[in-house]
Amino acid sequence: MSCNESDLMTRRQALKALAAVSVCPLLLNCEFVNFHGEVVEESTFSLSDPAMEALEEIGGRVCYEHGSRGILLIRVSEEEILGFDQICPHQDQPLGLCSGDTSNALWDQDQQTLTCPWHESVFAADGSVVGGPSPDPIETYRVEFDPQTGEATVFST
Amino acid sequence: MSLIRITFALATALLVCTALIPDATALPRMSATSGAPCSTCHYNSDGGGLRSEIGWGTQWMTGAFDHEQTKLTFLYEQETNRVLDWLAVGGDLRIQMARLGEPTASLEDGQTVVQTPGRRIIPMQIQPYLAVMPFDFLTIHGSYALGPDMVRGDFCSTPFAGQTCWQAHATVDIDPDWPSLRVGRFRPSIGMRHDDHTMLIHSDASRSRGFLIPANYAEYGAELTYQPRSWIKGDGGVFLAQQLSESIGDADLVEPLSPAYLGRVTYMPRLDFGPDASFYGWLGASVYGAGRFRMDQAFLGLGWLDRAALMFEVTHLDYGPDRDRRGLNAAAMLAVPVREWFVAEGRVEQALMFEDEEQSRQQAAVVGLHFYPVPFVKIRPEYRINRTDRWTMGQYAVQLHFFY
Repeated sequence: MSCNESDLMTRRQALKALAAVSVCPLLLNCEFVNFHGEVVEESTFSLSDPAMEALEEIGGRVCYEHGSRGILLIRVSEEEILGFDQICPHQDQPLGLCSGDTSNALWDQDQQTLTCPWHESVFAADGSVVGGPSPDPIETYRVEFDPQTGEATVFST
Repeated sequence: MSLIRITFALATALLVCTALIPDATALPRMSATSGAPCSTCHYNSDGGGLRSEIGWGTQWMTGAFDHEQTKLTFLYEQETNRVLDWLAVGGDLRIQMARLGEPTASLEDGQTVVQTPGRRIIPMQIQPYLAVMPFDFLTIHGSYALGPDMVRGDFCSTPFAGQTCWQAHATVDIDPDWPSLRVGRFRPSIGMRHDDHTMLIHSDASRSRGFLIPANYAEYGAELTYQPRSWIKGDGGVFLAQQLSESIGDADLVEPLSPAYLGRVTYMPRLDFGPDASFYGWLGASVYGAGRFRMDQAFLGLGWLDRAALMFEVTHLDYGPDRDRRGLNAAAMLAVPVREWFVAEGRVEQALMFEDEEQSRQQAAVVGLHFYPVPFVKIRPEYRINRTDRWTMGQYAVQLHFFY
């Protein structure tokens, strides 16, 4: 097998090609993000909402749309609901749990830890990493919950 | 065995001892612009994976700088990827720089603060391949995709649902006029096989990264391929839907060990209107399903030999009569090989999911280059815009790909 000389480029052509490729990083200036959904500081929900009824039981979990964010809510006690970002920081995979999603994150009621089903990164209730490969903590959301009324407020920070 | 052959065999073995994310490669535009089916350049009849002697030999010659110019002739003394008459080796190693994950936004003092995911350099793929040909009629092909957590002792960490770390199958091809048979664990011949595993064509638009047929998707099963003429080919197979059940994420819809079926018909005409006006393409359709789930695909590829390739694909996802849930995805791709080593490529895609009168949508537009500075090395810069129902993000990404 041999090269067809006519198909080989000259060094000058090659340098031009390299220059063309190196122009691409200039596109970095074109990077952008736009949000379509509403960005909210807080949002509210009620356990009387059929979509949230899983939270009526301790250990129950739902995916919750908090403005433009997806949050995993877990009822960890009679009085407390925790909110975790839906994306695991290890490989940016969704924690699962929503209808039709692949696999559920595991909540250990005794240890009060959340384990990502993909590669078993383990997070404490405050989002810090307590095990597994994740290099970063998972983002958490403050949830104020009134068990008497079943009303809850989710805060972005 | 020559020293060079031993060196390459050791290099491949070294790949096994390194790490990273599984992927699978196939470049449909190569078939369209070369006028040859995928199986010409790959041991896998559906494309992707280990390159055949022809495929390997083509890449041996493809680079902006040839072997003499780079003074690296010692790397290219080997003129085949067969280390023995009955043994071929190969591999893919990719490193990517991109912003991974989703952007976030929050309100701080009434102001919207947008946080773009950090730019990361990740090893996308380290995947060695092996083909053993004990007889003329039998080829055994296998690969192993090492996971990103290998450094932590996890050799098989698959980042996407439905992925497998290893694939292996035997191909029995007794006579070209007879059907060939593939048996083992491999990717069924679903629609077109693409190089980019982030394409939306097989996605569930209602899910973040919901790839139903991810890279390195494979099932246990058997598949017959029959190509009675150069222009017509049929594939049919039965599989266990283990990985499909995982990627769909609903064992009620597809039980893990339920049977999956595949059928695909491809018409591959070649039209010659003169020395500079030869066209090759495919027009095909496939159906793949298990349980109450079915994926129908139609695809069209039109290649102007050595000049351009235009490809379209449409996917319909059917979640059964019990659910008001349907998906409709589409992709259009254009590739222009300015030179063999410099290919411009672009695509637009859309994935839609209709469920209970609600609609989820994801869109993507990508433009990029495939630049081969020297044989077996590719630099792939691209600019991509992704849009979901929540956000739109434009970013630059670049991939460095070593292959053999």
